[in-house]
Amino acid sequence: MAIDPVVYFFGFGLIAGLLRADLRLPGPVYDALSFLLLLSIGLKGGVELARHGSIELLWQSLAVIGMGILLPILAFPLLRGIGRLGRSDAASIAAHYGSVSVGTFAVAVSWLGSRGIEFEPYMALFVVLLEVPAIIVGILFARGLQHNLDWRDMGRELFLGRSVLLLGGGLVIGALAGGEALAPLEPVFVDAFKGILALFLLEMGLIAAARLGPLREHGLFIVVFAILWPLFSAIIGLLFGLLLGLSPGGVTILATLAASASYIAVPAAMRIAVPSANPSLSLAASLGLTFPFNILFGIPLYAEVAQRLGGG
Amino acid sequence: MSNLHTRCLLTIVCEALLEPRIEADLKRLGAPGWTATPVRGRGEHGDREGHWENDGNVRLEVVCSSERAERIAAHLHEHYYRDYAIVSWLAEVKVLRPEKF
Repeated sequence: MAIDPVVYFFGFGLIAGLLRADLRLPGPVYDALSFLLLLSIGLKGGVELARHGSIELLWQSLAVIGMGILLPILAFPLLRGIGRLGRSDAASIAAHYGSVSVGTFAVAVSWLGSRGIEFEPYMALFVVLLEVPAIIVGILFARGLQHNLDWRDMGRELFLGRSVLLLGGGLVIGALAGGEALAPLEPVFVDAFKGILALFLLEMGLIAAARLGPLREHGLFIVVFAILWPLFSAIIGLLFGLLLGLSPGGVTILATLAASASYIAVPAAMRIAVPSANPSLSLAASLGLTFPFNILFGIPLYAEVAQRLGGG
Repeated sequence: MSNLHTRCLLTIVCEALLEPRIEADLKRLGAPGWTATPVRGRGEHGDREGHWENDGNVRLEVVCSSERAERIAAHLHEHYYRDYAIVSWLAEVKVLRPEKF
């Protein structure tokens, strides 16, 4: 099982971070990398969306949103019941794990690409669709239908957050402009993609290393949850992918999205909407454990299962 | 210099995420202006290294009358201190143009 070279960069960052080496990228550079990554994914998805837009895609999109609502609803009682977590923490973690990680998606795309495995090229749309529903479910679990939550303010936070906005903006620009018109931009947004992803993952490795320390304070349950839950949610993603008639590559990506946990958009939203939830607990799980688990072991595993099921 | 006037410097260090909300509060509570700077450091909430969006701190500095500064500090205490990484302090400073602050 060959490892995608970009994953080595993550491992490098992780080890350097654990050794407390001073490798970190300046904030604005990290910002630029994440901008480029999100826009590249959005643009590519948008071009394909214009090419493949159909009624079937609308149904697929609705089903994917349904999956985004279902996952936190399944995770919450588990976190409350078995994990014995407080309402706020359980709701926040459920939202993290119901939503998605764009970094994990990018690694899955790169992994499939380097093996020549085809997948539905408009999957970036599903990333955008999966970002928000789990956050809303998480807020409802934590706060109920209280009237003192400013939903207008929250709406800004949800839909104008960087990842939703840049992915969505990229999708729209890609769809409007089309592949040919975007060709001159390819050196930045297509050719450089893997290099940017490698640098981004190096930085994520450093950040993930810093998140592993607090994990020790949170007990065994969260460690077990951060590894076993993705395996369970990947099965849900696989089932949705098969029901929607996706190709094995597409099923792999949907399983990866289901298994991934947000560490950028959801933490920010939860900090505002559910401030009593402990951010270091959910980030330690999603970024310290689930992200590395998915990119190292999860994606190849989901691909293997998807190909066996899809090829049967 | 005899033309110096005493005012209060309110310094707030908080999670970067709170910046828009606290700035809206400052505006509402009549702060004449403020300066924001991204910062990093360590406190009760662990390392706040500031090298990605969920990890940064911001320092907001307001110069105003001491009554206003105390009112803002009390508001912050009431709304943010329980759940967020935030500290603030007040100090006496001298300014040249009292009408500005």
